[in-house]
Amino acid sequence: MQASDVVASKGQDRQPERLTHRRFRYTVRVILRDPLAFFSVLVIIVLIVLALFGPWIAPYPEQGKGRTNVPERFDPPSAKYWLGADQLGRDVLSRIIIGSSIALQVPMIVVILAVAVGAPLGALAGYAGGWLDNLIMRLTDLFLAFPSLLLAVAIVAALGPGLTNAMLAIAISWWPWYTRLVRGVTLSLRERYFVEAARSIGVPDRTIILRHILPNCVTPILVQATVDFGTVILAEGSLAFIGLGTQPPAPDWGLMVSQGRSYILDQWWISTFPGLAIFISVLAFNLLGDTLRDILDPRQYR
Amino acid sequence: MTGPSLRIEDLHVSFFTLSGKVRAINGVSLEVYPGEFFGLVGETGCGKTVTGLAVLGLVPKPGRVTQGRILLKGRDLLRLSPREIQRVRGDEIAMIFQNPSTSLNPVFTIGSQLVRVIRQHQGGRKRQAEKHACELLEAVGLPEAERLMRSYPHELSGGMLQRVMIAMALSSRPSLLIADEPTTALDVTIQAQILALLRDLQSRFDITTLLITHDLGIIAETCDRIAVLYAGQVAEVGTTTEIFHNPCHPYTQGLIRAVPRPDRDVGRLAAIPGTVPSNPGFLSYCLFAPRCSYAWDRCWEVQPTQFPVGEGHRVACFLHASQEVRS
Amino acid sequence: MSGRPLLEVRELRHHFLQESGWLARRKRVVRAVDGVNLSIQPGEVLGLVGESGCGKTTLGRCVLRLVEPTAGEVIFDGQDLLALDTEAMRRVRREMQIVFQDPLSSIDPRFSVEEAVAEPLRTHTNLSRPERREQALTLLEDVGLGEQHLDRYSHELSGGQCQRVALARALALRPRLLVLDEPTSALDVSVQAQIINLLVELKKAYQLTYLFISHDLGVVRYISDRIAVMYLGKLVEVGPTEAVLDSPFHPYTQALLASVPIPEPRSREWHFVLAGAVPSPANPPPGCRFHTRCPSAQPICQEQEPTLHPVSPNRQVACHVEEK
Repeated sequence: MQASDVVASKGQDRQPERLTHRRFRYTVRVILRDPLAFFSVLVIIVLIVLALFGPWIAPYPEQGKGRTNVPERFDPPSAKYWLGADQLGRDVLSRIIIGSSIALQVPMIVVILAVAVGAPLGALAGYAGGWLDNLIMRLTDLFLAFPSLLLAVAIVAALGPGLTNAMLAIAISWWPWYTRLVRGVTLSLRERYFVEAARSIGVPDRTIILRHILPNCVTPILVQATVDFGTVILAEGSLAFIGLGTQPPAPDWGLMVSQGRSYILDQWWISTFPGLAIFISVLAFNLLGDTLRDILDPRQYR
Repeated sequence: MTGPSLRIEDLHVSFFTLSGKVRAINGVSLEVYPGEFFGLVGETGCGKTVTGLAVLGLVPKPGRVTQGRILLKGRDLLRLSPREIQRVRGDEIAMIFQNPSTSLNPVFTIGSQLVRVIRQHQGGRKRQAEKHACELLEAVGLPEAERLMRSYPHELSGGMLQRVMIAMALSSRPSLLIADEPTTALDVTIQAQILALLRDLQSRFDITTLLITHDLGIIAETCDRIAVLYAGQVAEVGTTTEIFHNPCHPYTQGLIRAVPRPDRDVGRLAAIPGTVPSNPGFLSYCLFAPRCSYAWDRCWEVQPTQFPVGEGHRVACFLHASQEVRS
Repeated sequence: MSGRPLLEVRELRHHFLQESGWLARRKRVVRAVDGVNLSIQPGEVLGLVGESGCGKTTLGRCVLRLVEPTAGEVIFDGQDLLALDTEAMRRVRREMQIVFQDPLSSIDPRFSVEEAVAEPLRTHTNLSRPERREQALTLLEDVGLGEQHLDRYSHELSGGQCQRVALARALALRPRLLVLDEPTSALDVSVQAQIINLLVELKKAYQLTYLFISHDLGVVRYISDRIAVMYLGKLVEVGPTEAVLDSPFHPYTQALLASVPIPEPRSREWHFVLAGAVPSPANPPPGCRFHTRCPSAQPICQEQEPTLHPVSPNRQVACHVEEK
């Protein structure tokens, strides 16, 4: 056996552990380098902390959950209520903090549902082609023909208002996007040599989709899902705003904006701060999506 | 022969990536004489393409020239302002690349793109530029020039597109043409046509040509002088005949012995063991030493400079150093 | 070499429709492979050469039924592959494998080297994970890699290393035929030599038969016993490698040889360069497909298509003008 690439690669053969190390350091560097990336990661970490530990962080957790405090209604922002009190005297800050768990849970559930339904359909459509592809794509077109929010509204109107139904409605209007996305990725993956290699080995099509196609769709799905988090927060907030989502007294941000509508001129803080919370969260998720794409691109490692 | 028209002195180019600093070129020095067909040969990662780009000031970010001079007829190109180098590009130096189909805009006709280039460097009216464009297309061996002017890039084959690129490169009669792997993407029979064209143009218009390639066969058949690059440094430089009949650097020898030939049996193919160092900039010994069957202590202590071994023939290898330097 | 050929291809055709014209209104038939007959004996290396668009890659795919031939027969060890159903074909696939041109993308970027090499084992055997890992290690060692490569990923390896992994994977089930589609074209010269030497060793060690597809005549000469030259979907010349390359009969073979640059300084006669470009396989010239570029074309060449016929005991040419 003649000398192979194993020989004479002094110092080049890095151990796998050190490579994960490099990956981590690289990720940190990407984040620190870009102020927007840094901002987005920071905000999301804060959101997660608030969502997990809200009841312990919020100054007035009971009010956050909904206990009224009518004597102090409409109190402006002060040392006692940092962001003011709302129309029922509840501390706006506490409400926002407790509400963060809804703000994170909803997109998580919706996106997971949408991906679970949409991605496999997209992979199937892209790989199989032919009539199956046609069928799935026309179905997708059907759903996409409706403006997504309107579709969600219609579904909730039919099912009845409430958080669970709102999530279901949004998920139903969301899955086609993932089908389209995954189908596109699948179409390009199908032509790659490693898929041909799997076929030449005799791997059944079903297994190829599960083992080769779908795992390679993870990155684009992840990037899209991250941005979608923000969009779903907005969608759910909109549904709540028109009364079709979470019902009072839940501290849903969209609901808070809606309820503060009538008082917006004089007691502006009731709508403004929850609105700002929505804005910052959506922005952070959008930016995170971009950062994620930069981090996950394996070509950067060379 | 007067002095060299292109002289590269101790060029260093590094890429400052997020993963660290990569030294692509580690001290390349060479001269190209007027009217000559010069070949820059090496494998992937040896820095030959970056050298070509550096001459034109086109090293892509995050890369940068960190040291050295590039003299075109005595003028240091690295010291020019962006405006001045812009004028040099296309005017005095032209470059053609590997993939002609990506060098042309698919939305515009061949003619309009040619005319635009001509007018950019020479001004003049559209009529004039169109006439000039037709002449150029004929000069590069494309028949029915007028019909071609109205075609779009996707209607032409790879070989024809490359001819169009050459025409574009020649439009302002540059004194130096840099061709970076111009035939790698083309079929063998088309490749032969393009290489013949390049040599023909060189003698007709007296253009100095710098040909960058990894193919030893192309180098042997078209070039007057060659530089062999390894890991960002010049391993050996000399006339084609000298290098092929008397290769002095172990890497050059290894390369020649590793290429199978269609015209005769070569016996056993001698592969060069090991691989190219991935980040050679930080090594203080001869970059080829780990793979060299002749390496001895000196080779691991310090990097060799270029030692003369014949008429215009230099090698960066201690095997050919004079006695004092060896010890 | 006599006896039953391992692989026999008879009148193989692969045609497909290509849309063209504005809004894809017109459909043209592309005759990628248009009536090819060849055979490969066990233990032989057949080199298949030609330029882009000649159909050699498609032919390689057809042999493995990665692409369905439109007509003809593919007979592997006496069995007509085209008559087999999916399940039976799956079983036969164990005996014939392919190695691709681009080593980096022939391995799933999400698979570790171990997973990639063991995939055939996972598909066709009931071996446990540790058993598969052990076999994968043996295979890696056979191709010149080591244990430290088992847990690596394709983007961490060089082109040469990836190609070795692809070879290890191809050999996992002990196939009898390997189709190699330009296996060294994407590699550097020094790495190419390593891989070619490895291929020669593996052929002996595993008793393999190769269909070696390439456009590089030098490599083909080194590794092939016989050579078949293809142009626009048809074979133009077949014979023992040295004989064909040292004294080609067909004008196209002659032109190819004259065009290939040789790493030896010589004053070349540039006027022998072949003019024109390869016609599109959707619109091949009538009669002999090469007549539009052929320096020896006669009137008959544009009327009648020549067939591959023997001109000496083991050489065949498809040409009207019998020239030496």
